Amino acid sequence: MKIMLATNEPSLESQIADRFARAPYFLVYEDKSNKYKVIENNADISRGMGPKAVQIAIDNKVKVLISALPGGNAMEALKSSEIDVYDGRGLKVSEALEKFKNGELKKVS
Amino acid sequence: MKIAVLSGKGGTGKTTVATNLAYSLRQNGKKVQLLDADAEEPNSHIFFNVDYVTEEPVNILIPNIDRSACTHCGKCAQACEFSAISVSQKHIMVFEYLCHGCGVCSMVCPVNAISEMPKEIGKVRVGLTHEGIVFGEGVLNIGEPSPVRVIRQMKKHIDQNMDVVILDSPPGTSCPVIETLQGIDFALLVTEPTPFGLHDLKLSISIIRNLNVETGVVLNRYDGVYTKIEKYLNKENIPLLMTIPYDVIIARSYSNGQLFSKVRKEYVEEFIKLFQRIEAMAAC
Repeated sequence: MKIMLATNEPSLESQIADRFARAPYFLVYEDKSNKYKVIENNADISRGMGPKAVQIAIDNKVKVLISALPGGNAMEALKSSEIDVYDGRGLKVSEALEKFKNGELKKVS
Repeated sequence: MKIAVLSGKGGTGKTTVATNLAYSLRQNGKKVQLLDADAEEPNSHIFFNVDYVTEEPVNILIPNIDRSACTHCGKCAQACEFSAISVSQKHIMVFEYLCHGCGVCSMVCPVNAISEMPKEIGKVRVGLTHEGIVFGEGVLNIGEPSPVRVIRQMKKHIDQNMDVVILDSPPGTSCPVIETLQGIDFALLVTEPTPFGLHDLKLSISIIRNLNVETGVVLNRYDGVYTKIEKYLNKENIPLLMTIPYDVIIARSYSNGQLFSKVRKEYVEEFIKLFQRIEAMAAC
C-alpha cells in the first residue's frame, strides 16, 4: 500500500509540514518494500493547490495521506478518490509511519 | 478620452477621485460616463442617485461532465491550468470556483464527455445619475474568485459618443486591473503620502510602463510632511497632477456618502483643471 506524506524535507527524518497542499515535498512510501519516492512540490499557483496536490496522490495510486489538515477543496477531492487522511501534525515522518502502523493516528473525516 | 483611476494600495481615494472628477466634468457640461470596474466591491453608486435602466447577467462556461461517457483518462485534469478538475479511477470532480471558463477540458476530452454550460458569476448594471452622468457598474457574485469577465463585459458598454469615460478601477496590480487598463488612454494613479502609498505606487508604475499607457498622479490626504512621493515622482519624471489636502470636511463628506466637490465647490474647478492636464498629456 502506498502512503503519501506531506513534508518539509525530502527524508524520513523530516517533520510533517504544517500545510498539506503547499508542503515543500511529498514522500510516497511503500509499506511492503519500506522504500519511498520523493516528489518536489514546486507548483506556486495562487489557487487550486488543493486539488493539484490530490491529483499527485491519485496519479501515484496512493491509498493513505498523512499530513496537516487539508483544505475544503482538497478534502472533497480526497473523499471522492477514496484516499484516507490521517492527522500527522507535529510528528516526524518516521514517527508518523510507526504510529500509523500501530493504529495510533487519528483519521480525518 | 478614456481615463482609468487606479492605485496599487487600497483605500487611497480612487473612488473619491473618480466620482468627483465625473461630477465636476458633468457640471462643466461634458458628456460623462462613469464605470465602476471594482466589481468585488463597487461603491461609486453610493455618491449618486442612479436610475438603473438595465441589468444583465455575466456568465462563464463551465464543464458539464457526462459521467457515463467518461473513461477517467485524466487528460482534462492534466490540461486544466487551474486544477479545476480532479480525476481518479472511479470519480471525476469539477471545482466550479476554480474554473476560469477557458474550455480546454472539453477540447482535450477524447470521448466528448465534457460539454460546456453557462454559470452566472455576476452582473452588469447600467443607468443614469440625476446629474446626467451615464453610469455603469460590474458586480461580482459573492464567493466568485475572479471579476475579470465581469469587467470585460462591463467595458462593452463604453459609449464612444462621450466626451470622457472614467473607470473606477479595482486596487492592486493583478488581472482585474490589467483588464480595466486594456484600451484606456490615460491611467490616473491615486496615492497617499505614506510608505505604503509609495511602495504600491511603484508597483502600479511598473505595470503601467509595461502597458505603455500615459500616466500621472493625484496625491490624496496631502499634508506636506511625507515628501518621498514627490521625490520619487520627480526622479522618475512622472507628473504630479493634483493634490487633495488632508481635510476633515473632505473625510466627513466621503463618510456621509457625499461628493466633497459639492461641499467644497472650489474643487469643481480643480477637477476640471486636472482633466485639462490629462487631455494635454494624452494629446502628446
